[in-house]
Amino acid sequence: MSSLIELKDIHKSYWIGDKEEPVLKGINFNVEEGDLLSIVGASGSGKSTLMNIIGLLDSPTSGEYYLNSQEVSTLTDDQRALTRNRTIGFVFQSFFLLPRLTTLQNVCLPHLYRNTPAQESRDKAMEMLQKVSMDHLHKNRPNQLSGGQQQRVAIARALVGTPSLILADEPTGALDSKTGREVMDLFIQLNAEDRTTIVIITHDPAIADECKKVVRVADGHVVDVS
Amino acid sequence: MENHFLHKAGVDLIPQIKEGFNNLLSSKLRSFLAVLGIMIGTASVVAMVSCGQLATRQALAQFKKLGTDLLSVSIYSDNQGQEQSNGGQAQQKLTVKQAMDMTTAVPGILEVAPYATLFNDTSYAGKKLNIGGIIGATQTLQDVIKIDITQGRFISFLDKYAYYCVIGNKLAENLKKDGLLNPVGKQLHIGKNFFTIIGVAGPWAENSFFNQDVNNSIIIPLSTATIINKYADINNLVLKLNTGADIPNIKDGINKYINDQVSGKRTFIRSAQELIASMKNQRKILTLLLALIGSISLIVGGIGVMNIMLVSVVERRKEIGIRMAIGARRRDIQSLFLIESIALSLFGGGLGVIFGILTSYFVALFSNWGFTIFTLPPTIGFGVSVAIGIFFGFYPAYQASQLDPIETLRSD
Repeated sequence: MSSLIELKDIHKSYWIGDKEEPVLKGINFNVEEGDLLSIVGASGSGKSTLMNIIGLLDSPTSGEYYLNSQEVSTLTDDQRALTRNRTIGFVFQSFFLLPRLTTLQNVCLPHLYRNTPAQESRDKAMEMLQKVSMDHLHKNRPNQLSGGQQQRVAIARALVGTPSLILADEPTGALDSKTGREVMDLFIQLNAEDRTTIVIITHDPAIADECKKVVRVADGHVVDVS
Repeated sequence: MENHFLHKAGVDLIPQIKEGFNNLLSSKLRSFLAVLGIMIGTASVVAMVSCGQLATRQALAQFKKLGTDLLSVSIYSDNQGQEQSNGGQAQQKLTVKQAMDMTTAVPGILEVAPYATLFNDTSYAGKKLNIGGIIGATQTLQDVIKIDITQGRFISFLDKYAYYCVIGNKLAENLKKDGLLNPVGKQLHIGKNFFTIIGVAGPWAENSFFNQDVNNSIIIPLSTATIINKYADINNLVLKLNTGADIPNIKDGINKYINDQVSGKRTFIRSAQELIASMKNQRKILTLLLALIGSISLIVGGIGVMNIMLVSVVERRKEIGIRMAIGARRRDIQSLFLIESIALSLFGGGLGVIFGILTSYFVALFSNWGFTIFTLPPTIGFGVSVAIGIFFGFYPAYQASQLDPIETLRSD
């Protein structure tokens, strides 16, 4: 069985002036379906760049990236947008909900870009809000919610399109330890109950320890997979 | 998973439009100002073009009231200077009889009103009168250029060489101020001669086929005019034609007739139909010019929309990044912003059409013009405002769509 994600010798450099600055220097690892994996590294290790590449927000300078067995580093902008929409659910450190929309409308967003009929889209969004225990606040706007609540809504938004992969960038970074704990529990629960594949990017070893698999990144290399 | 790339790519417009309106409502003042800009621009285009059209229609209506069956003939000496230097030889003049005979000589002419203009000193009871001129005319003038008589009667063929005169409305008013309440039967001094006032004309509407202002003139019999002033030549004629007359043919006939009667003359003939055509043309240019002036304010309004959309794009950078991460394609982002600017323009355009029509209504009301709603100005106003929305909304929307999602997500 092939892996959900296969990264083969991924390189990424940025040009600063006329000087090439390598950030990723040959990354190799796989993510299997049902994994709860964390990518751990200090700031400047290249983990954010790696996340952008996995999340199809950025393309590698060289190397191969197979997502669901498809080479995706050569896709066009539109194809990447479609793939992000259907295959990947993002969870960000500072939640990134749209402030003008209600909780429910925020969760509906991924379906807006899929032409899902409005009623169906709302039903699915409510279902996801129930899953993260936020359905009672579906009419509220993000600024009326606590950080932990906002992150739950953001997770519901990531889940609503039934993606193959949840990609979470420091999901507990902006939360206090208690709510951070709750968010981690939610991830663990989702992974255990629904076999949702989750990749968490973090600098926090404590978070990494709770994941089934840990990929340690330092100076653009994968230094350890456990 | 490959096959979803083959799916129809478009995003449903309705939810996008709903979103656009939500976004516009969330910054009410700003949206209002943008709408105001477009509204004023559209209103000015609509009002100006409407007023142009109303004025044209009004002018044409007035013109047509005079009769579209008129023809004016002016006679010039071909080479005046030479003849004068010849001295002895008398200049040939068209006589009253020759002029009147034109009706029989040229088919298609119903009536001929030849006239001469004189500038003799005139006075009443020793007081000099300030008048526009003395018109030597025949009985036919009354019907051809439509002169109403309020007191007494008009000049008649039977007056021949009589020293009778008809005074214009404004002149009668002036004489009234001098105490002449009942002018008919009283006498005026023209040159060295006494003229008896036989009639008073009512207010006369100006007529582009007659080059004198009847209201401020004294009308005397044409034959009398030719004997009291040796320079009183019949240089102008107003003709009334049969309905449906062949104008080019008549023009040729008149030219030929005049050249047969008197030599060394040149004629200049204008028909009502030609005049109406050139008037329409001039008015069209005027209306176009008004539309252009109005369009300038519409363009300024469009720049306002562009400005607001550019600010909006900068402010919503993060939102753009989030939407892209969630799966919005570049063109979805573009249409998100384009819809907003088009909505602003549509709304402004709609209001502008209403205000523009109202403005032209009031202009028409105060100018005593008839009012109608023309279809052209609202169509132009509305169409141009939508075009402006698309044109000025395109660049900000394109800019939004070209943002890098990573950078926008990193920005604060």
